[in-house]
Order: sequence, then C-alpha cells, then structure tokens
Amino acid sequence: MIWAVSLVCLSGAALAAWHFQRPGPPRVRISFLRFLGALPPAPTRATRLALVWPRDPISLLCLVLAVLAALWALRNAERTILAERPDHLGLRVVLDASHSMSLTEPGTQDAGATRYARALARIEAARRVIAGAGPQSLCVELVAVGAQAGPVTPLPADRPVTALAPAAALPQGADPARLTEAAALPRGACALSHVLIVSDLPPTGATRLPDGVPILWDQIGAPQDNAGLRSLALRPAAFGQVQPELLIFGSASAALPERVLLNGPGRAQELPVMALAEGGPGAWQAIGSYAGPGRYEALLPEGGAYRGDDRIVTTLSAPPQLAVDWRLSGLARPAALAAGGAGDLLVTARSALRPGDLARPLILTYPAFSGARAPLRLGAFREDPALLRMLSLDALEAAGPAAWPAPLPPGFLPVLTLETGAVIAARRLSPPGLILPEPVLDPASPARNLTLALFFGGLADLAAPPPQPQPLRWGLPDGTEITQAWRESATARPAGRPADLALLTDPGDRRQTEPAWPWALVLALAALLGERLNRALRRKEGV
Amino acid sequence: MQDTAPPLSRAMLQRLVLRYRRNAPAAALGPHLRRAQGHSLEFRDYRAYQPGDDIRTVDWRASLRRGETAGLLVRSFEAEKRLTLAVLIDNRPEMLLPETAPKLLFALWALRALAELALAGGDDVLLARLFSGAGQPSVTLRGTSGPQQAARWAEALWHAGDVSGVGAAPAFADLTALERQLQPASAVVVISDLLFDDRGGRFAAFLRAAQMRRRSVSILHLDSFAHEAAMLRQLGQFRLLRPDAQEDPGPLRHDAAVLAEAGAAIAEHLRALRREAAGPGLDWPAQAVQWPATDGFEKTDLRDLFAQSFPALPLLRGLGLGGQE
Repeated sequence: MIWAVSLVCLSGAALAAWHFQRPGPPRVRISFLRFLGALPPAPTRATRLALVWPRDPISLLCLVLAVLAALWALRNAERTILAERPDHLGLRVVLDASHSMSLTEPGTQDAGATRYARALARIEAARRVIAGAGPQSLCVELVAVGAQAGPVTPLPADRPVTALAPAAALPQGADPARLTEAAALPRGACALSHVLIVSDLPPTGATRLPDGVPILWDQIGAPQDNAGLRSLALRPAAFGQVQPELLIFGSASAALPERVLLNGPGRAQELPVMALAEGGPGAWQAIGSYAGPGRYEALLPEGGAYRGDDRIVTTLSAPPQLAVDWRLSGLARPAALAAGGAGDLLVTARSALRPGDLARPLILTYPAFSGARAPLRLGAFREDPALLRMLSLDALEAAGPAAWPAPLPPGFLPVLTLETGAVIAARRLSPPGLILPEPVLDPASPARNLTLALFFGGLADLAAPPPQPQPLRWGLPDGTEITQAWRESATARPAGRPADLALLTDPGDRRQTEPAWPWALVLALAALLGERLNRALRRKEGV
Repeated sequence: MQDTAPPLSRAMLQRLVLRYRRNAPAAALGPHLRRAQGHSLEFRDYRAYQPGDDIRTVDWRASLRRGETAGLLVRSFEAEKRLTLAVLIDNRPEMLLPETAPKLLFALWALRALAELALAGGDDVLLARLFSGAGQPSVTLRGTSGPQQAARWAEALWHAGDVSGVGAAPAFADLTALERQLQPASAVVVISDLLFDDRGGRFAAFLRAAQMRRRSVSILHLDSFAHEAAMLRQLGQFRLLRPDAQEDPGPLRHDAAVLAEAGAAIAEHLRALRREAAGPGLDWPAQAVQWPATDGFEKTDLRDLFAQSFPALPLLRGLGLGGQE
C-alpha cells in the first residue's frame, strides 16, 4: 500500500505542477518584425507555480480521475451485490427435548400430537424452506437439548430428522439458557447463517449469536394450565411445637390445588394447600407432620396438564434437636429446646454473665421495665425483621423502657435506640448475639407482650434454624424419574406466534462481493482517452 | 472543404462577373485590348492593300468596282484576343501571420476568386508566387479546368507554408522569367502585405516593367499591422520569435512608442515602394484591406472580412474581367 500511496502522491504532484503553473509569456510571431525596434524586457517573475485556474481543467479532471480509478483498482476494489440466490445457507437447529415437550396438544388441528412431534415437523418444514431458496451450498445440523446440550449432529438432506433426533422427549427439565448455549456451541464443518430454536419455552430475547448469526425462535405448544410441586423443606421443632414439620411448596398457573397427599413412614396425610404471599402469583404451600426418618412421597392429585411435576419423593433423616444453655431465672426454658452446654446458645441475664460468656453465641437480657417509667421517644433503629416484625413501636414508646446501662460489648451494634441515643436492643453477627430487654412476666404489666415478643423473636432467630430444603426426585407414577421437572411446570406460559421460517433465507445474507477492479481499470483508461481527445480537440481548434 | 476555397457563394461570383463585364471601361487605364484587327471570321473593314498583306485577303470584286487606278482593297477581320490576368501572390512565411487569421489565406481566397471571375469570362489566368518556395512557381489556367488547377495550386501553396521561417530574409522568385510570361495588354494583380525588404529594387523594377506594353498592375495590399499591434498590447508580456536572433532576448513587454515607430517605418517603406513602382499602369489604392485593430480576430472573422471587402475591391472595377464586348 505504501508504494501505491507514493505513486498517487507523485502523480498528484506532477499533475499539480503541470496544471497549476503560472502561464509563461506566450511566444508570438509578428509580420512586421523587421520594422520593430528594441522592446523593453518584461519584469522578472518570482515563482512559476501559482494557484491559478488550471491551464486545461478538463484534461486535469480526466487525469485526476484516471489516477483515482487506478488507485481504486490497486486496492483490489470490490462491490457488494445482491445475489438472486443465497450463496450459502447453514442452519443449526436447537431442539428442545425436555420433558414438557411430551405434552399432547389440545384443540383440533394438532390434537393428540405431542409438542415434540410438532417440533420435528417444524424442523422438516424449515429444511424444505431453505432447500427451496436454492442456495449454492446448504448444510443443516441438529442439537437436542435436555438438562444439558447434546452433541452437534449433521443432518444430511437425505435423512429425516426423526432418524437423528431422540425418539421422544427426554425425562429432563430444560433451562432456556441451555438452549442459547447450545446455539452457540462450537461449529463443525457447517458455516452457520441461521440458528433455529424449536421449543415450548418462550423466547429469551436473544436475536443473534455473539458473531452476528441471527437466531429464530420458534415456540410451539398451546398454553395449558398446570400445578406442580416445587420443593420440600424440613423445619425442626421449636418452642411450642414438639414435632418437626414438612413444608411443601408448589406453584399453580390458575386455581390452587385443593390438597396434597403426603405418604410418610407409617402414615399418609392429606394436606390442605395455602396460598403463599411470598413467591409470586400462584405460589402455595402445604404443611405436613414429620413422621420420623424414612421415605416420603408427595402427590398432587390435581396437577394440571404436565404430570411430571406432580410427584416428588425424598428420604428424610431425623432432624437435630435444638439445645440452649438457659440461665434465666424467671422464665422457664421452652419444652422443645433441650438443655445445652457450653457449645450451645447461651441465654442469660446481664447480672449472671460470667467471664468468657461474651465469646459464645448468646442472648443477653437486662431489666428495662423494673420500675415506673415515663413515656419516651424512640430514636434511630435498624431494619431487623426477626426482632421488630411483631413489635409495636408506639406501645414501646408508651411503656418507656430503660436503656442498656453500660457501654455495648465489643461487636454489638444498636438495633433500637431512644431519642437520647441510648440503646434498647443490639445485635452481634459473629458469633451471633443479641442484647434485649428482660421478659416481663407480670400479666398486669403493659410491657409483658412487648418484652415477650422481643425476646422470643430473638430466641427464634438465634436458636431455630430455617427450614432446610431437601433433595427431591420427581417422577411419574410408573417410576420414570425426571430431572428437575419443576423447570417444566410453566406449561401455561403465553404462546407466541409461529416463527416465519422464510426468514431463514433472509436477503441480508445474500449480499455478495465481486471484484470491481476491472471496472476501475476501464474507468482509468476511459479517463486517459478522454484527456487525449480533449488535447486533440484543443490542438485542432488552434490550427 | 478546401481551406483556400473563397468564402463566396457561386451566385455571388456570377453576379460579380456580370457586374464587371458590363461596367468595364472602353479605354480605361490599364485595361487590356478589346478589339483589334485580326484573323477571325468576323468582317471588320476594307482598307487599301499594302505590300506584305496576305494576297488571300484581297477582295477582288470590291477592288474592281473601285477601278483599276484606285488600287486593291483588302478585307480586314475582327481579331478576338483574350485577356491574360496574372495574379502574383506573396508567399513569404510572414503572410501566414497573424496565426489566427493568416493573410496568406485571405490572399489565396482572393486569388482563386479572381481566377474564377477571369476564367468565367473566357480569359487566361497566370498564377505565380513572388518568392521562392516549394511547388510550381507559376501555372497558366485556361478553359473549364482552370478553377480546379487554381485550387490545386493554391492548396499546395497553403500547405507548403511554414510559419517557422518568419523573419528570415526572403528570396524572390525568378521575376525576369515571370515578366517574360506576361502577355502584352494584360493585367497583373499583386497580393501582398508589401512588408518585405526590396533590397536592390528588384520588385519595384518588376512592377515598372509589368506596366510596359499597355499592361496594368493592381496592388491588393493586406495590412495587419494594427491588429498585430493590438495583440501585443493585449498580451502585455511576450517572447518574440526571431529566427535570425543569436540569443533569446527573454520576455519583452509592450511599448506603445516602439510600435508607433514601427508603424511610421512601415508607412515610409510603403511610400518609398510606391514611388519606385510608379508608372502609367499602376493601380495601388491608398486604402488597404485592414485587419481590425483589436485582439481576438479568428478565421471566421477573416471569412466575414473577405466576404465584405472582396466584392468592393477597386481593382475589380479596373480589371474589366471578361473582356469581350
């Protein structure tokens, strides 16, 4: 390229020097020369080059055009054309083979056919569309995706997709992210021009791969209401409960199911279903009793369209019993909590604190309502739902609690303070610790409920662990186990319009380039010819 | 189309023929012989026999009627003599100037127009160049092939012109031989800018000799001095091409005083030439054909100048072309 630029610069300089030189004095002949005396010499000119109108603008224009056209040709000029037929079409089909694809379609046209069968038919239709576009080369490959993406399989034109795809939907739950990951798998011999994702899941919004290959998402399957089991958790016994509980969570796209059947060791339970505020629309839970270690099976009799999420099986072991080192004198240890030792949570009054206790997980109480108190105004407090969720701050102000009488121990941060800045409650994160007003047990005292709510809220927060989700196995009644079947529950999702398979022959991909340097060369030669003709015409005029 | 074809229509040339045949003076200065005794079949007169007369011309019957003592009578007949129009053209390289409207082109147009006029009247035409050069020095035209011959000769002269020789000393053609070619009582037309150096007076002597033997000499003077001076004034700065100069004097600038001196020198030169060439048959109008004193005079303008000036040339009236009456 350097030599081409040098050539252009040299040519340009030569052109400018020739065409922009100041016209010299013309050479003239006169017929009365022998009668003419000596004429005075003309004044000497300083420079020969000047920015004057070119001596021959048309010739200059022709030469400049020739030089530019030659430079264009040197740069191996190309031009983009729109081919009548695509040069190449390479299609990767990502087939969602998850278990929800085994749903049979309601309605009239595809009644009785599974979503999976419909997906295979769409793939065949896509193959026909791109073959009908008449590309000069064509390749199709298939990736079946369940819980994970399968291998990339070439799909020859002479073999039906049913010969290479899984025979039926896989007993696996699929994640939409797995589909887009499969679309972006490393390529083999097929140069991709399009990706077609056939799934009953709604589109993720991705329209192109990172390298620009367009993604066409073809969603199949009509919406069908469904309810399913999502998770099961074991909550250990605490406080007034003497038995652990089983929490069963689920979802429903329409009306909540009425009941859940729970089969445990030695007994069967029919659990009512309750709507759950947390977890979004359609979330519900059912609470069952822990019947000892063993195998548990939860069934959802009214599970809707998809059956794979209507049955879960888990095996539970005995939950650990909670224990505390209880040193409070006025308040008895809750029956569900065992008597603990030095390694358990310490519950003690400030007055009974021993050296070294501050290093243990503890709840430290102090007498905040021991005498008559005047109403106080609360100051700053921190959001701490475990402590303050059940507490009426207005009632607390009216009760007028006393503040922690000493500087806070190391690690404790105020949770609730008075207007004066004095601390009423404080929390330490590690090791866990709380400073709370001592429970008032006098039934006549207005501070009784306040102190008990604060104390037991804190005790439950530190002593009782949250319900522990249990590992589950989903499966059909015939014993077929389905991995992560809860991912398939959303069969009632809105159905999009079928994809326009004609987009697989998008004209944007028909752009081709062809060499344009011959035209540039012809242009340069034409410009040179024009310059010569112009010179010849000027000479003829001058005769 | 030939370069030297005169820019006059055929109809205009025919009108000129008729006009000047009708207006030809009977005994004007320089016109050639109209009618004379000769040997045609047309009877003219009787006269007395003189020794030496052809015995075949004696009219015996008329002589007998006069009587024996009165002597013999001989019959005289009309002599049909042709005019010979000699057109001499200045072929120096300077005649190729101004380059945009050469005087030589005007001269060749006039030459061919005069030849066509004369040939159309049945006259003979002699074309000759005044100075040495390529091609035939002269050619005699007669009859219907005359115009084609004139065209060939004029074209050859035009294309042999080389402007690079401007300023070189001219060499006259063989004027003595040319003078011998002139018939008695013929007309001579000289077309030139008359700016050449007649050193030794050869040209003036030729003009004087041409006026002898009842011949007329007409001068068609082409003057481009004012136009060329205007061109130099317009250029301001220029390089003068002098083939005789040893060194290039470099760019020069216009000087009105120097050009005025040149104009005066030319006028003096013409006066001297007029004096030296003066004779009984010299027709040299004081007014020359003038190139306009402006720049930008092109060939098309030269055609217009010819079309306007040639039909009104005084020499056409004096020549009396087409001499039979």
